[in-house]
Formats: sequence, C-alpha cells, structure tokens
Amino acid sequence: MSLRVFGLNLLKNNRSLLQNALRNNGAPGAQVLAVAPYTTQVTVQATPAAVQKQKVSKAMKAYLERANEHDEFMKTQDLEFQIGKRHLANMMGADAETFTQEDINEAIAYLFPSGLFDKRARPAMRTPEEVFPARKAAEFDETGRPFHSMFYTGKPNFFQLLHDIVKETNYLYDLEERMLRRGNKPDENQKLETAGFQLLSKDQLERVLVEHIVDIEYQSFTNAMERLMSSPYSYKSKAFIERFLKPLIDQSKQLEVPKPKIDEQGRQYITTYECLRKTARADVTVRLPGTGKITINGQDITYFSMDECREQLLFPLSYSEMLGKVDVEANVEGGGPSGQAGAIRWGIAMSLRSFVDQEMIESMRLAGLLTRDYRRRERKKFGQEGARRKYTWKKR
Amino acid sequence: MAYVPATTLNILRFSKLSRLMSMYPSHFAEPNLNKITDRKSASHIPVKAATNDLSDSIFYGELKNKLIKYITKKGNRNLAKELLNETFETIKRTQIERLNLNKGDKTSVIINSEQLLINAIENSRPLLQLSAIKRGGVKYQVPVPVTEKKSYFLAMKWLLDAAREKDRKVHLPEKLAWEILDAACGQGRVVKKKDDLHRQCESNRAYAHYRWS
Amino acid sequence: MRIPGALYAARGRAPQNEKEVPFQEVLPLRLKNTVSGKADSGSDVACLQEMGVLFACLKDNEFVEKYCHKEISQFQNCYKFYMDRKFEAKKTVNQGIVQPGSNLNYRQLNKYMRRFPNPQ
Repeated sequence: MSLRVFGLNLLKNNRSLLQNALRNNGAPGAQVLAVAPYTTQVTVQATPAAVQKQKVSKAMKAYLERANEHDEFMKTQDLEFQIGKRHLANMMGADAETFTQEDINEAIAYLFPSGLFDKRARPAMRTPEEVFPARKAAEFDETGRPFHSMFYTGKPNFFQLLHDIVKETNYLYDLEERMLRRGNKPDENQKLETAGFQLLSKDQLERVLVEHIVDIEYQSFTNAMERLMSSPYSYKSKAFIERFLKPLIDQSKQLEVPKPKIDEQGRQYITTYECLRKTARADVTVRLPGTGKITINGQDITYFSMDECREQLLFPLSYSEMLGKVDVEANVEGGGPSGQAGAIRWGIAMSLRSFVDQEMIESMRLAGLLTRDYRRRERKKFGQEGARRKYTWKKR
Repeated sequence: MAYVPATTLNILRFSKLSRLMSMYPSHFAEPNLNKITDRKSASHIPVKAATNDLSDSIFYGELKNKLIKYITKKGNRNLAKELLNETFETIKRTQIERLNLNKGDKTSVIINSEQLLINAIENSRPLLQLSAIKRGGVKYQVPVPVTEKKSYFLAMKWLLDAAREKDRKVHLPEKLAWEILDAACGQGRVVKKKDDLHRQCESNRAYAHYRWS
Repeated sequence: MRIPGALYAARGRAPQNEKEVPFQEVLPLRLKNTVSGKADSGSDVACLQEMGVLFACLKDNEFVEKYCHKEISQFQNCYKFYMDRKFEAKKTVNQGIVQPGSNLNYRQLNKYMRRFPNPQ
C-alpha cells in the first residue's frame, strides 16, 4: 500500500514538472519535446507497475506528432530565413552577421519596389516566429487527462479569465462591505482613472488568450470588466485591471504643432502646405502680428463670390478669436469654390495652432476644424441614376 | 417642448446609427462648437470634420440650415440661401411696419425674423400622424405618434408646400414670409392643416390599438 | 328499406383498430428545443392611455394646444421613453443576451432552451 502511494506521489510530481515546463513555453518548442520523453522515462523507473497499465493516450500521441512536425517545419523555415538573410546581405554588400531586421526591410523595399497600396500586401521577409502564429502548448498530460478543469469548454483560458474577474469582483464587494461596517470610505485620491483607457479589443484579447472567442463571449468579458471597474474600491485590483486596458491616443497631441518661423519684417509666420479638400489644393501662410488682411491668389476675400465660402474662411479665425490679429495668404488651385474655401479653412486652422494655447487647440479639434475632410464625390453606379438614386421602376 | 438646437448641448454627440457608406468610422463624434467642460473624456475621441455649412457666425442657425436644405432644388444651395434671406428681409420689413403702425404696445411685436421662424415651426409641429394599416383586407387610418425629428420635418415641409402653392406671379420668399408670419401667431393654412390632422386622428382614435409601427 | 345515416351517427365513428393501422412515430414525440421567430413581431402599441387623455383634452379645448401643455408633454415623454427603450432592447435582445424577466424574445428563449434542453 505504501509503495503504491509513493509511486503515485512520484507520478504526480513528474506530472507537475511536465506541466510547468509546458506552461513556461508559450509555443511547443524543442524544450517541451526534450522534457516529455524524459518524464516518461522517470516514471518507468520509479513505478514500473503503474506505467504498464498507463498508456500514452491517443490525443497525446497525435499532439506529440503534430508538435514534432511543427518543430521540424519551424526549423527548416528558420534555416531558410538565415540563408535568405545571408543572400540579401551579400547582395547589398553588407556583413551577414550584423544584418538586422531593419536592414532586411530596407533591402527588400529596395530590391522589390512595390506600388501596392496596403503595406501588408507588399513583399516582406520576417522571422518565421513572426510569420507563423503561436500555437497552444499541450493542454493534457500523457494519459490524456487535461491540466485545466475547464479544458472541455474548449476555451479554458477565456473561462478562467471570467472566473478570475468574478473572483476579483467578489473580493472587492466583500471589502466594500467590511469597510462600510467599519464606517470607512474609499480613497478618492486613489480612484482608478479609466478615462484615457479602453478595454482590449476582441482580436487583441484573442491574441492574449490564444483562443478564438465569439462576439457574445467578448460581450460578457466587457460586461464583467465594467462591473469590476465600476466598484469604488477598484484601485485595489489595479494591476489586474490594467492587464486588460490599453491607453487611448490623445487626439490633440497626436500631431506636433510646428514652431513659427520669422520672416524679413520680423513677423512670425507658419506655412501649411498641401491643404486638401475635395480636388482643391492650397498652401496657406499665416503671419502673426497682422491686421486681418486676407489674400487669396493675389485677390482679397472677394475671390469667393459666395457668402458661404467667405464665412468658411473666417470660421477658424473667429472661433479662435484671432480675427484681425493675423494676416492670411493663400495660394489655391483646383476644385470649385466650396472645395477651395474648405482647403483654405483647414490650412488656416492648422497654422493657427502655433499661435494659440493648448486649450484652444483642443476646442478647435472638438469643433472639427483640425480634421481633414476626406469625403469625396461618390461615383455614379451603373444601373442607377446617380450614386444612390435608382431609375424609376416601371413594370413594363 | 421648446426647441433646443443640438449644437448647444455640452456633450459630444454620435450619430445614432452608423451609416454604412460613411467615410468616418462609427466612433467619430459630431463636431461641437461649444466649449466642452468634460475635456478629459473628450480628449481621446476623434471628431468629424466640420461641414461647410457649419460656422460660428451670428447668422448661423441649425433650424435655418435644415430649412435651407429643404428649400434646395437640384443642389443649388446658394439660391436657396438667397431665397431664405429674402424671406427674412420681407418678414422684417412687415414686422417693422407693424411696429410703427402699432401705437400702443411695442413689445408685443417680434421683429427678430429667426425667432419668428422658430415660433412658426413650433406652432405647426404635429403630435400625431395617420398611417394606413391593413387589417383583414380593410385599410384603417391609425393615429401614430411622430418622433421629434419627423415632426420638425413635417412642419417645415408644410410651410414650404403652402409657400410653393401660389400664383405664378408671386415670388416664393414673399409667400413663405406670409406663411411664416401667419404660423408664428398660430393662424394660417399650415396651423389649420396641423389641427385638421389632429381632428382626423381624434376621429380615428378607435383604431389606435391597431398600431404595429 | 333504407336506414337513414343519422341513426348510425349517434354511435359515432368507431376508433381505428391498432392492429390494422399500426402507430408510426413519424416525428419524435417530444417538443423541439427551439421556437420559431415568426410570430415574434410583438405588440408595439405604446402610450395608448396618454393618447386617450390627450384626445380628450384636445377635444374639450377645440384643438388648441396651449391649453393642453401637461397632456402633450406627458404623451411625448411617454413616446420618447418608449422609443429609447425599444432602441436599447433592440441592441440587447437581438444579440440574444438573456435578461431575467418573463417577456422574452425568441432568440432569448432559444438560448434558454439550448441551456436546458428536453431530455432525450
């Protein structure tokens, strides 16, 4: 009896060894394979009787085969990559040993120039680890028994995550109740700031979990996380929450504000090139100490005959309270009056950023003045009268 | 319910339904001319570009813009704008004339033509609408509540329809000015049309539970 | 002599002899685990009472709206509330997110029944 227990214990230990080894390696690599036969050997020595009964399960066998195959494949891919890298280095006349990924990218862009619009569609050479996505390691031991209690849900990592979130939430609820009983209040200073953050998107979460999840499952993840974050003591589990938050880009700081230059008369000026709207294109110069003079292609604001276009020109100036304080010069070509006015408006707004404070820049952004208007005329479709309108339907 | 222009709200608005053909993704907010107080949460939200009918001048009015869009025919917005300006001029002229004729109470006459337009539209907004619903082979006229947006649309459409239904010799701005002035004091054809609609709805109230809309 | 058929009719139609016409289980004798969404248009009649009150007020005041401010605002608020709730419900219900309550959409029902199916 004692011997049996001893043997089982040994088995258990070995199993946990295997488990650890598998978990430490994200992808099934050479190490996993090295460990797996080793552990079986140990068990054979320790408990011969137990192992005679124990068979390596079919699933494990198939998995090992697959892992082997994958490993071989990755090896050959890696070899090919190294050879390719050497060839490239030779072609470019560089040292193959110090040839980095950046050099490779440059060489590829030089040797295979591509006019394809999407950058992902252009030719590239990357390490096989990058090209072939990571695969899950074995989720069961050699007898075919899964490590994870939720293995048979098919998505153990995802459901484990949900469990963890609920555990955290329950802990926070308990804490809140205990604190209430003691009459303590949550610390306002430590409050979790989530304004500039966003939960991981579905595909990002999928990448983290190495599991495919459906929309409704993602929904339950977001619901659970929101419940956790809405707790007044959410700062207690900050580390956990922050694993699933990603910072949002601050929109107004995204574009760098250029420093104004000085012209011959000692005035500050900023020129914005390539102001585009519809098919119009403009270059706009704004000079700071000015009298509100507006010059468009050598004419004044009467270059535009329509009120609306003139109003558009004055919109950013009056909105940022710089009307009458700056001079505007613009060269514009292409397009019609409203497109030209829109192009100049954008140019003025972009140039004015150098002369106003951060607060005003943010206001201008929220007013939609700093967004480039990408809308274009929609094409006419065949079988239709225009872009959207259909021909009048007549039965016969 | 008083008229509240959406741009005066102190929040970032999003279009309720993401339009499939829109150039902007659905997380883009509508431009807002107000100085928004809640800057921190707004700083991460991208904003759509201001359209070329938006402006912060004192002549800008949201309802006015909408009406211009309804007046426009064949994309000639410039003409529509001119017509509306002319309408406002006519309204102002008549109101000033009235003000000068009216010896006693000078405060009762509104001269602000934009305010008059808003009043007129508010007065001619319907509450209910009749929609034909087929039940057992018989078409019933069923009273259905209208949404706020639709009620504004109907009011403006009726005003315009009334203005367009005129002699060939009368100019549209003139007729529109009269209709607006009439509707602003709760008289005229448009308000009558609205009342008629309400009366019809009332007489068909027995069918109200047939609604499926 | 012809016997009128009505005399036999009193006894009724004899039941089928099971030996002659054996019972066949064409479809399994249990309910399906799904419901169809055909009849789920739902009743969309909202704010009927408010509408009635409004009509009464309008009729009393000869359709002059300024005497019925309270009724009008009540009616409009009711409709607005209804539309907002409908919009929200459309977002949640159509995705099949199950909420507690008795008024379930067919998608929600299907989801429930998939969770607790009929015994095989």
